[in-house]
Parts: sequence; structure tokens; C-alpha cells
Amino acid sequence: MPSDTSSGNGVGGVVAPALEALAARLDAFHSAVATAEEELRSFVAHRRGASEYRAEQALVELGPFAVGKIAPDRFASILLDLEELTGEAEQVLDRAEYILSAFATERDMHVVTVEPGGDLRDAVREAFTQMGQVFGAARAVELARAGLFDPDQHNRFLSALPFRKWNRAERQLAPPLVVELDPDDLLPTGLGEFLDGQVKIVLVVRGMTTPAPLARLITPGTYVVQTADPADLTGLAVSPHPGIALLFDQERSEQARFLHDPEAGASPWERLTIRHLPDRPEVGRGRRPPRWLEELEHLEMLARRPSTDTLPGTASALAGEAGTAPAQTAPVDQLAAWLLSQTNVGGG
Amino acid sequence: MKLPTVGVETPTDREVSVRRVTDISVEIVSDSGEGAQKCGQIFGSVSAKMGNGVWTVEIIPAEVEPPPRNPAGASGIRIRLGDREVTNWGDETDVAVAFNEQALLGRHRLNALAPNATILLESMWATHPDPSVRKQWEEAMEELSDREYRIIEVPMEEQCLTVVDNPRRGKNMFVLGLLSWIFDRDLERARDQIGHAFRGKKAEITERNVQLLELGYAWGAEHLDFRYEIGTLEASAPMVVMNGNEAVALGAVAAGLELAAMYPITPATSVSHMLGEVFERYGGVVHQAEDEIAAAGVAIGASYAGRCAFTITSGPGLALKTEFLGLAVMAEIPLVVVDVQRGGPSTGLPTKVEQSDLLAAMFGQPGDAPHVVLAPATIEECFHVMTTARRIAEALRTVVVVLSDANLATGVAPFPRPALSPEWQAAPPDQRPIPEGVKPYDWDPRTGVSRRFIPGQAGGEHTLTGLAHDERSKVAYDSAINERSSTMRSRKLLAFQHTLIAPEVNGDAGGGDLLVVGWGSTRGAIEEAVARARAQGMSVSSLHLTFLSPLPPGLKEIFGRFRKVMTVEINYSDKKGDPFVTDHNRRRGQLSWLLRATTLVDVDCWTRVLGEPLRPGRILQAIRENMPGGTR
Repeated sequence: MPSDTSSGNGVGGVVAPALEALAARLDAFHSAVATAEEELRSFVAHRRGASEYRAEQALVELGPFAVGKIAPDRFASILLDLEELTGEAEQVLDRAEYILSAFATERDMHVVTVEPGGDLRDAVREAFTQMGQVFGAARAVELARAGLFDPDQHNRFLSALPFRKWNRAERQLAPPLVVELDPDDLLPTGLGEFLDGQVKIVLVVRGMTTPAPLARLITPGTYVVQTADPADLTGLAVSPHPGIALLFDQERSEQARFLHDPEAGASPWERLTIRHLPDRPEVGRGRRPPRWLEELEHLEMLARRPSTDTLPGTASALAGEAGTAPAQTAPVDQLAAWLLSQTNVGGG
Repeated sequence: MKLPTVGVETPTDREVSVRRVTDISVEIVSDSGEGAQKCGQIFGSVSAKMGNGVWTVEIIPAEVEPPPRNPAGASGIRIRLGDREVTNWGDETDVAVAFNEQALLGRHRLNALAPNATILLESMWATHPDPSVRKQWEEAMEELSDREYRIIEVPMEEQCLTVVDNPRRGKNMFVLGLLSWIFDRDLERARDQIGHAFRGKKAEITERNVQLLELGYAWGAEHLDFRYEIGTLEASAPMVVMNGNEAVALGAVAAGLELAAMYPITPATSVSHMLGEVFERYGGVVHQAEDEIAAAGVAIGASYAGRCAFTITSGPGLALKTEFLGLAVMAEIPLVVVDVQRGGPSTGLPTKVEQSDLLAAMFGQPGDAPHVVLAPATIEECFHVMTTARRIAEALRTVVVVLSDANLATGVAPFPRPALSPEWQAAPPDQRPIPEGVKPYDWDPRTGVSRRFIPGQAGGEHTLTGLAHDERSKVAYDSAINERSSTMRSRKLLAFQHTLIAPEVNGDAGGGDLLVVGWGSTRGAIEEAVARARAQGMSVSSLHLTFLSPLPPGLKEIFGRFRKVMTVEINYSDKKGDPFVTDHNRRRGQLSWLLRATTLVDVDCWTRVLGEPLRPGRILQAIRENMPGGTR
């Protein structure tokens, strides 16, 4: 069961506030599962012995508009094609109902712990695969209702459903996930494949990480936040975009704190708010700079607004070369310069 | 709970009269783009949430942006409030707020204002630096003086400039504040509603609008000497407030429809705007096609593939979809078509109301293309009709046209929050392998209904065609097959007609002098007029039709109990007594044509195409004029 992957009594410290910040999202997921389960139960109850109350079924299917306008008994006898469930369909529906009812209340599945030395990507993939059972069950229900459930093909839906098989609607409803891990195991770039629909992942790390591990996950449509304050996760929870957060156990000057909100604007510098940027390390002459320096550079580049008197992308604007006033050139020359700057053959 | 206002006490040194009313109409008119409608929508929503019956009607000029200060370009909204349910826009306006005297003049010339209306008018134009504007003002005042209006000049712009740089962007919220003081609206609700109306905008915009609201409220408290008190309903259930197009959109979601294909057309477009906000969240797709024809094609294709699809349009779009609707009927593909009617012909009156498409919706296709046509009468029905329409379309494998209109589309009214049911949603189509021997059009000879095949279904392979075909979907020009397939398509409608219930008579079911028959959005106005006529002793009743194709049973018998039957409609008919008009050549209201043809009863009609909803007072006058033997 999904709870096998959770940290059990490890939910505390910064994990509990993280879950609290995601409460609305959690509630939405569980409420949808509970509703699906209720609908399924009602459907099964209706179809068992359906022939006995066809008129009632017609009345409810036609909706309130038809009341007093359409005679449900006549509609049922003439136009309602209602068949009772087959034994096979009933079995599938019973199994699906069991899964849905288990998930409707299950909360532990939203927290997983990466064992020291473990693989973050694998842990997230496995958690989502287990949670995907709920979507698999829903699919099995639809197949059974349509008379299409083929045990050979579809029994897998009643066990687990990997994230890559989730459809668009399922990714929109995706349950949030909180992952506890050690700083050394924080390799988040592999999580890009999960940032779709409204997936929300919160990475909870105890200890020092590189300054901006999530910088590489910033894309125009992804909500990304690094923070030590769980309150900052509220925006992640309500964002209509997929999102990922890195929640530090405490504020450290060596760790960047920033927020990238796709709703905040059309340009990277409008979407990105940097609250704290660590100082760049001194790199000795002839020494190779640390790889994580690229994280900071990437972040700085995204945050930089091009000056208004030059075209976006011109080298001087982006590099912020102070003191070199832009030459008075014709717009066509500016455009040509900008185009050249976008290529590797610009002669520069 | 009454929340504190803005801290401005009504001065004690002057008298403020409080008029207790049970029903009142308010209009806000301006140039296009000054936000009068937004102001009215918020005022209407706040009033509905406070427990008033509410009905709003938007006053929309024909052009997107007509010249400013032009009587023909008045843009605005009428809000009718009541201490009970309000079902129509009423007769004349009691309180008007005008952003300039020319917009006011436009309403005056249409006789929209009560002879003793109270008018709050922007005062800046009287002292405008441009002499031609001052002259227009003076001429307007002269023209307006032929009524007993009470005109109160309000320095709207001067006041708004204390908060905003561009008062064109602020007067509407200032006016909302004025009206909130006059009608004692709950300011906290008004603030909330402003927040809702400007959701998605920057916080400072909402804050500024709230400031303007409070400014208007304070100005009213300090300077005005009248207020209104209107009772409220005790709501027995939670209520929701929306317009008809929003109701259609949310009803489509509740009905489990999965794809809305459309091409923008006034006044239907806002259905897709609402769907655009919510549909995807529930697994739906809004598809804006390249044109009306493609929109119908996409919806038909999706439905053919087993999904629940619908298309949204207005009269000119319906005309373009004609061929595709014929295909859906012939190929027996379930499809819901929402037609938010406007005036015609051609592109007609995009922003005005008319019940113009009844006959086009029924008979628009070449050949015999039997399908269902129904018309919701209220905003609540706009919500629920979608479930019924979808279910009928699937049960009969045919097209169901839902006729709404501009009156319902933009009108806002409260109704009980629907208790949603999963059973309203479509069950997935049966995709089990097709048993051997079952054909794609295995018509049940009793009902004409056949099993729906879904592409890819094992054993269901066949060629789909829009040509005449036999049970196996094979093209066939054999006369007997064409006769049989036509009979089967028609029989579906007959079978469905057999499930319909005879409509109830509002008034005396046993009969009387006059029966007024209506359809669609006119129900509220007709029933109010009939109630007034009955209160005056006239033997008049009404009957409202929801199903127009097929018509419900029992109409001829009901009509036979009345000395005269007359339809009341918002579409064109020749007037008796006009040149060349005789009883034989007279062109009649659309429902009147239909009822005469189907019942052989001499059904008269009273119709108007003024581009506005019918007023109950005017219907009452028509009833009086058409009572057999004169008014009793």
C-alpha cells in the first residue's frame, strides 16, 4: 500500500507544516476520490436489479428540467436502455470501490522518505505509481461500465499506474507529494518529467545544500520556490501550474531563496523574485569554479531585466556592462546585432 | 449582519425620506466602455445575496464602441428588484443614473423611464468648456422637461478625480456607492463582490474600486434626501446568482458534456468564456473552431467518437450549421445545439433580444430532418436544460436544439443552488462487442431507435454516410429504403412525444375567454401580465411551451376550452389593419404558425420586435385589446 513508502512517525518538524500548506490540494484530491467512491457505490446499487426501478432511474437521469414535462415511466419503458451488471463487471467494481475507499482517507501516502544514498527520482516515481492506483481504479470503473473491461488487458489498472501513463485530467488532479531527503541525495533535475498538470512536489531537506538546486527546473510554466518558510508554500498549493518547492530546515546565507511564479508575468524577470542570493565564492586563479555556481548564474540571468533602450538579449544589457553607453544606431542595426548575438557565428 | 458603512452619518439637519417599495426598477446608463453594466451586475448580485428577487437586463448598443454622448449609443443595465421572486425586467424605470444627458435622452425617447422617475445625472456637462456640449445639455433638459422627472445633478467626475486620474474608469464604482446608500445595500457584500468582479486584476485596482464605492456611498449619505426600503425573501435553500449564459455553461458541466465547439457570436459567446474558466477542470474541452460550420463538425465528430458534445451559436451561426445538423440527423449522431437567439435576418440585431429562430431551428434543414427543439424559460432552467437535452439526444440519437435568447443570456437572477447528481452525467457508451447480426441502424420498429455504435467497437465496423442508407449503413437510393429510414427517424420523435406531459394552464384550466400562449424567456412577463389582468377581472389564462418539437400532447383540447387563443412572442408578425393585410395573407408569429398548423385552431398572435424584452404592462394592454368581446 502507498503508506509503505511514507516516513510513518517521521511526519513532523518541517514536514508537518509543509503538509499543512498543501492542505487545500490534499483535500481536493481526497474529496474527489471520496466522491468517485460514492458515485461508484450509487451506480452499483442502481444497476443491481435495475429493471425494478427504471422510472426512478429515468427521472434522475433526465434531471430537474424534465420534472412535470416528461413522464419518467413512459420515457423508461420506451427509451431507457438499462442493463443489469454482469458478474464480471460487479467484481471489477467491487475491487475498484475497495481501492477508492482506501485512498479516500489515506494521508500517509503523501510523504515519502529517500533513504540515505537513495535515488530521489526513483522514490518520487514509485510514490506516484502507487498513488496512480486511484486513477487506475477509476479507469477500470469506466471500462466496466462501458462493458469493455478485459481482465487480460485491464487488471493492471487495479494494481498501480505509473505517472507516465496518467492522462491530462489525472495530472490536473495529481495528489501532492512531500519528500524528505538528505542534502547529498538532492538531485532534482530528474524530477522535470513529473512537473506537469498540477503536480506539486515539496522537497524537505535537513542540512546544507548547494545554493539553488531548483534553478534548473525553472521553465515558463513551472512554479518553483526555495524557502525556509512553510508559509511560502501556499502559493505553490494554489497555483494552477505544476510546481516544486525546496523547503530548508532553517535559513542559511549560503542558500538562495527565490520564487518563480508563472502567473506573475510574461517575462522571466517578472516571474522571478529573488529574496536572497548568496555571495559568489572566490575562485582562485586557475581553479575551476564549482559546478553549482551555474545555478546562481542561471538564476541571475533569469532575474535580469534588459535595459529599455536596447533590444532584449544584447550582450551589454544582459551582462550589465556599466559605463559603456549604447551607441546611437538605427533600429535595423540594433535588430541585426541582436540577431547575431543569438547565434554562435556572430563574429564576436 | 449590517456592517459599518464608511463613517458618514446622514446629516441631521435635513429630512431624508424613506420610501417603502415591494418592487422597483433601476437603470444605469453611460457611454460604451464606462462600466455601467459592471456596476449594475455587482449591484444586482449584492441585492440577490441580500435576499431580494432580482432580474437584470443589459442595454447594449449595436456597435462595439459607438460615438460618445449619443442617444443611440446608450449602454447600460436595468436591474429590477423585488421583495419576492422577480421573473422579468418589468415596465418602466423608477430610478436612473446617467453618466451623461445624451445617454439619458436615449432611454427617455424609448419610453424606458417612468413619468415620475428619479434621475441622478452627471453634472459636469452643464458647465463643459465646449459650448456645443453645453448647448446639447440645454436642449436635452428642455426635451426631458415634458415629463415629471426629478433630476438630481451629481458631480461624479469631480468626486472620482479625488481617487483616480481617469474618471472614466471609476464613475461606475462611485455610482455603485450611491445606489448602495439609496437602497441600503450591505457594503461588506459590495466590497466582496467588487473583489470577485475584479479577480485576476491587480490588488490595487480592487482597492481603488472599493475606495470609489465608499466615496459614492459617503456622497449619497451627505447630499441625497431619499432612500428606498425593500423587503427581502427568506431563502429556504442556498441560492446562486448568475446569468443565463453562465447557467448554460455550468449546466453543461453538470450534465457531463465533454466538448463545446463554437465560433464567437453575440450573444452566445460568453457561454464559452465561462466554460473556458471552468471546463478543463472537469475534463472538458472548449474548442474555438475556425468558423461556425467547423464548430458543428467538430462537435459531431466528437459525439460520433462516443463523447458528449455540444455546439453553441446564435441565429446567423445556426444558418451556417444547417447542413451539418442534417448530417447529424441522418447519421443519427447525438448532438446538443445551444442557440442564443438574437434579432435577424442576416446578422440582424446582435445585441438585442428576439425569439427569431423557432422555425429556422425546426425546419432549417433540407428534406425531412426530425429533431428535438426545446426552450428554457428562466435562468434556472438554462442550467438544468443541459442535462435533459443531453439525455434526450443520446436516447434518440438525434439533434436537440436548445433555444435560449439574449434576454436570458445577459439577465442575472438568483435561483436555488442545484443539488448536483452524478446520474445527470452520461454513462459511458456501451462498447461491448456488437453481437453478431446487429446492424448500425437496427431500428426498433416501435420506437425507431437503434443502438449507438462507437468507432473501434468490435463487430461494429461500418461506413458512415450522410446519404440515404439502409440498416447496414449502406448507401441506398431504393425508394422503399428511403421511405423506411425516413419513417424510422420520424418515429423516434413520435415515441418521444408519447413521453411528454400536457402543459399546465396558468389560471383556469377549465377554460375562459382568452388563453395566452408563450415560449422561452417571455414566461415571467406573460404570467405577470396575466396575473394583473386576472386581478382586474379579466378571464385570461396562460400556457407556456417548453417542448416545441415535438409539441406536447393535449394542446388542441386545452385550446378548445378558451374562446380565443393568442400567442405572445418577440418575433415579427403583420399587424391587423395594416395595408394589404388580410386574415389569409397575414404573416404571423412563429409559434402561432406552428400551433395553427398542428392544432387547426385559429391561434392569433401579438408580437413585437423592438429589440427589448416584453414588458408586462404592454402585454397587459395587448390582453385588454384582444379580449373576445372586449374587456370585462
